[in-house]
Amino acid sequence: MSDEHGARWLSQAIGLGGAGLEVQASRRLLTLAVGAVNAEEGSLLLWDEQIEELRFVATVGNDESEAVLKGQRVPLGKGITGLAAATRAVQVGAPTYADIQQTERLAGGPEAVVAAPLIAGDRLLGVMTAVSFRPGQRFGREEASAYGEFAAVMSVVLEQARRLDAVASLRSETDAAATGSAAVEREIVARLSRIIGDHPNVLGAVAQLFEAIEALVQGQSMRHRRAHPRGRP
Amino acid sequence: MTSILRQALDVSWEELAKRELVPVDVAIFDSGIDCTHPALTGRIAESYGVATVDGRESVFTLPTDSNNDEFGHGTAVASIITRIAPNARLFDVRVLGRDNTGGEEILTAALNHGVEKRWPVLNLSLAAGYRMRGELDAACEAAYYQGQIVVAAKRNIPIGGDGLPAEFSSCIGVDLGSYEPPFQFAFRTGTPIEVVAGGDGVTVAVRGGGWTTMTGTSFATPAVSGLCALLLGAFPGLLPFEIKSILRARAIP
Repeated sequence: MSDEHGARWLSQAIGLGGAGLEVQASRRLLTLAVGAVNAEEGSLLLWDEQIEELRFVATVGNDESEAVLKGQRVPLGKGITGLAAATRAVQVGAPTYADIQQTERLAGGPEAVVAAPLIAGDRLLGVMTAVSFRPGQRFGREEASAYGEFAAVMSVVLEQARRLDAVASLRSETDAAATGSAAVEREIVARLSRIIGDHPNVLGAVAQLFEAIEALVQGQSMRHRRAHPRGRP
Repeated sequence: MTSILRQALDVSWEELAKRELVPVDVAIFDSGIDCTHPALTGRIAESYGVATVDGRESVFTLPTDSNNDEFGHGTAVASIITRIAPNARLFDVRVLGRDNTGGEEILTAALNHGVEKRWPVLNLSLAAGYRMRGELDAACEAAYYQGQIVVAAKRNIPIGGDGLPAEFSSCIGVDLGSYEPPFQFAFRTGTPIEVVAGGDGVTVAVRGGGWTTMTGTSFATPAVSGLCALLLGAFPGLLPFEIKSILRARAIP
């Protein structure tokens, strides 16, 4: 997710700021997706633009896994997860064997992995994965297609959360600006009151000062209107 | 019907594979190829990378005796083509970098390089976005008019379009179906993605050594590229529209 709004949501998602509705919805969707492909565990990773890597934010199906994985980083292109992010395509993985007949397994790990990228427009939002450790289980075309569909929905959820967060932040900034202006007005009035109260003989001079300021501002406005007639930039 | 097209339609895939085939250059635009994998050693004729330097994309050569694969994807794709088409001579063009920067600019530059090189078959097991649609279209059109076959994968995710260049009519767009690769596939009309090929649980080479199985349009696409290499190996000079005609004629109803 891009910009500071995404970073704030990310922090919230990985447990630093509590669990909002969007985080809960994401977890429910992830759980549903994992069940739909008959997997045992699933994870949601978000793309952190500040570090340019994926970061685990949630895991379902195994509390121990979540405790270990949460916050961990995955570089673009690393493993099936990173490959899905790099290629922007659903990737399905299986164990590696020494021989083409696949009789001699080279390394441990899950029996089957599917990873689907989360995309909004041309932006990478993250990746959601599903894994199984059942001997002999494999994910195929149908699981890849199904997980891609769930990923599409997850992308909408995440993008909506990001936009709502951005709108909320913008409103906070606007409110702060309005509050700031009102404070400045009050300060000016208070100062004028003190000056006139302490030195009533300067009232005339203050009035002339404001006339001069007003004339200056109007003069600038006139010059601006002459330079930019109505209707033209 | 031309004589060469008639001959190509009359011979079965099995007979084709037994014929003496001329070498056919197949360029793989991907994450690079592990040239040290036992299944691929000696099969890669040239290797290139594409990078953005000072705001401009440039193509540079890579050694053909090293592991040039950043992710493992290109190696997998290459192993499918070499298994189907023993006459395929591979040209590795790395367009997917470790940091995935460049995107469409990198791909466009790579494709234009492929057009200059006139490689007969260009395999793109990837789907680009639409930001540089015009430039990508122009490159694929140029390839088409030079008689080059561009075979490209449909995007797996159903939202946001099928991806480029698979949608271009100048290319052969490939979708994933439940078919036994490479000789079983379907041909659809009325859609930009015309070929549906098998890419489910395909045995592929793994970067660094070993074998695994993978699924996706990425692995259905090289099956079609391999078939194109077989056809061109037996009937050099077949044009892109003739290749499509043959694929349509040989497809499973």
